[in-house]
Amino acid sequence: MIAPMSKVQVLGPRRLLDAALAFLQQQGALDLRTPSPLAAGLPSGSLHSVPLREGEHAVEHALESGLEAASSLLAGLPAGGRAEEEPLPAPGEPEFAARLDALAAERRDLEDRIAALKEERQVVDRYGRLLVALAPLRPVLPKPGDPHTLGLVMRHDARALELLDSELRRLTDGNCSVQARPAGEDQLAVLVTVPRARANEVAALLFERGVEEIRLPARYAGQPLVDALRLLLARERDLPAQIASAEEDLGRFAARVAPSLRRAVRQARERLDRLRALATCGETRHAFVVTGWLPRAKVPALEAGLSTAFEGRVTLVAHAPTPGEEGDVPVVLQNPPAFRPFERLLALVPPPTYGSLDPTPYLAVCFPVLFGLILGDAGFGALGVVLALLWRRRGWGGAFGRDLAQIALACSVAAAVFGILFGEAFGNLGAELGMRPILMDRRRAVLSFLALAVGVGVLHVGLGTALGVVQSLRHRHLREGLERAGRLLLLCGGAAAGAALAGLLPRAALAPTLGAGGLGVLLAVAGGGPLALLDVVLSLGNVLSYARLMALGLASVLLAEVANRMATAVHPAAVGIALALLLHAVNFTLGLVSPLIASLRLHYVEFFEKFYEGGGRPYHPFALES
Amino acid sequence: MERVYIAMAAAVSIGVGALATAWVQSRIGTAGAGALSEKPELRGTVIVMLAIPETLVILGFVVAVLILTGGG
Repeated sequence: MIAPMSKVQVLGPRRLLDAALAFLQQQGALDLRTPSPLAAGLPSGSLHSVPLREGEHAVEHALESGLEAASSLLAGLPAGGRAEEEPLPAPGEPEFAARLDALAAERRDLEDRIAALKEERQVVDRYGRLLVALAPLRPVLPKPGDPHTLGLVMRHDARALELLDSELRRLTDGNCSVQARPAGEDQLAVLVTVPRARANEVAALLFERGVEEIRLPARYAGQPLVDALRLLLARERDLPAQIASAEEDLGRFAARVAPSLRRAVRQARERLDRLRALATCGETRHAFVVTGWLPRAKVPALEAGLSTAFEGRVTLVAHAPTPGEEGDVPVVLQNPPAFRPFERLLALVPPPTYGSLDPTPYLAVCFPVLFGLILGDAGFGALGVVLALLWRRRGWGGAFGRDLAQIALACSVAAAVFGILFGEAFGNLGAELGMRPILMDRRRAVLSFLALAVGVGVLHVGLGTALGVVQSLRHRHLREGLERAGRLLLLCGGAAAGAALAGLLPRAALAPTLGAGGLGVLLAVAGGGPLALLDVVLSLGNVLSYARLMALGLASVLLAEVANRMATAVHPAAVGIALALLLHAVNFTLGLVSPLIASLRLHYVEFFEKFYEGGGRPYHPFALES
Repeated sequence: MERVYIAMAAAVSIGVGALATAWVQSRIGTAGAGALSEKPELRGTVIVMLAIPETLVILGFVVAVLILTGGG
């Protein structure tokens, strides 16, 4: 049901406005609205909205920039680490911004240090491999001359190596040596020795051909190969510990500042909310008024709280919504715990308007029934129950996940019950193991199943239309109520006539039921005019739409049967069983998605259309951050 | 020969319905994806819109079943 709401005015001396707002925010129940002077019982023009004072503008600006800085400082901070929490100045204070700047610089230094160490590890890894490969090679020239050596990195390519060798021989008249050793999976470390007099020409050639020369970083350059190698190996040994230490420092930094930063972000948001809430408050020369909506059940508690906190200097006036105010009243759904998870399904459409009907209880009963009628398999149902219980027990997805698990549990139980009625468990496997249908065998009694689906449609659409009649009468829309009652009569008459034709009712009932249907058409036209005839035809379409229960159900059971046949038809048996399990898994997944979408659609399009009044205002109480 | 005609009639019944549903859903899906990128709060409406043309293939299927079973 939709909780009854009260319009509340909190009144008090102007100097207590800030404290009153802080109190209301702490209570977290009032959905604020801008007050009107007439509603506050004051002459027009005497009540005006509360402007921000000079200092408050500065505070607002400081809070906004502090919030942005604190959020960006918090973003991406690693979890873990142990350190004593560092207290921070209050957000909005000048010291807060200065402290955040210092913390941002500290974080930057730590991250730069880690980045530099990681980069060096890459360099050490790369050059270490190359130098290890080059170490056994000796620079030699075939003919006398002052040798000059170059280290190169090349891909594993024998042709490229040959080409390099021939080019160098041409350039040095054969006085050169090219020695190569593998360095890693796809690289070669190449030691080229040429006469020093030809070094520049060789370097130019290598540059032209795009051959990469090994150039050690400054830290290792200019040293003999052995020394450079020793230094690289020493760094390779030390770097992991240094990186771990730097990351620990960052972790300690996060542990030290993250809790305070999160608290500061929350405080800044709450303070900003209070400042912005001022714009919705009204004031006179000496008094303030805060207006909003509150669930009626919470009014006494708020009244008592205000009286205690402000020793009677702040008072509360509450009254029920007046006619014409319904569009402004926020909607709070209030259902028994068993139905509450199904409010999530209502979140996909605009909330109901205040004063209209909350469809959650009907959704909670009908949705699992439609789902179960489609899936209708004891095996899949039992599997669904196990998964839903596991989901609920593990608490995956928090409160949202718990609600979905509850819905899944209800749907799975319904699927298992219908599975027993249809004698199905993993398709025809249940029948093979001795299960017998109690209601009908869906695989063979296709037309009976179609009749059952359409019958369920008649009941569901009929329930929706009956709720529509109640809704119209509650709003005193008599003509609309008459039209809906006519459609309901036509639906009942048509269904009874169909049952009489099918032999479910005595044949003698045919004439009176057809008469009732005709009377229904007349009432619909009387209430809604000639266009009501169009609605009558559309209602028929709504009912026929429930044939999807049969179509999807039949598809599901036949797919399961194909999976079972595969297990016996395919050889070797292990492959057949594996394929059958795979197909059952696909069928189970489809069995979760298709009935879900189809049942939702039947509710949103066919059922809700008969009575649901969407477009309500969501309830957003002025509250502290949770 | 009569059984062939019956089977073909059933195939046409569900086939044309499926093609029509596919065509309409492709149009609604494209428009829905565009709408959702602008207004994610419309997801409920888009799901409903996308599911509406399913009726075509469902009714095609029902007619096919009636053709194959002789309606009784």
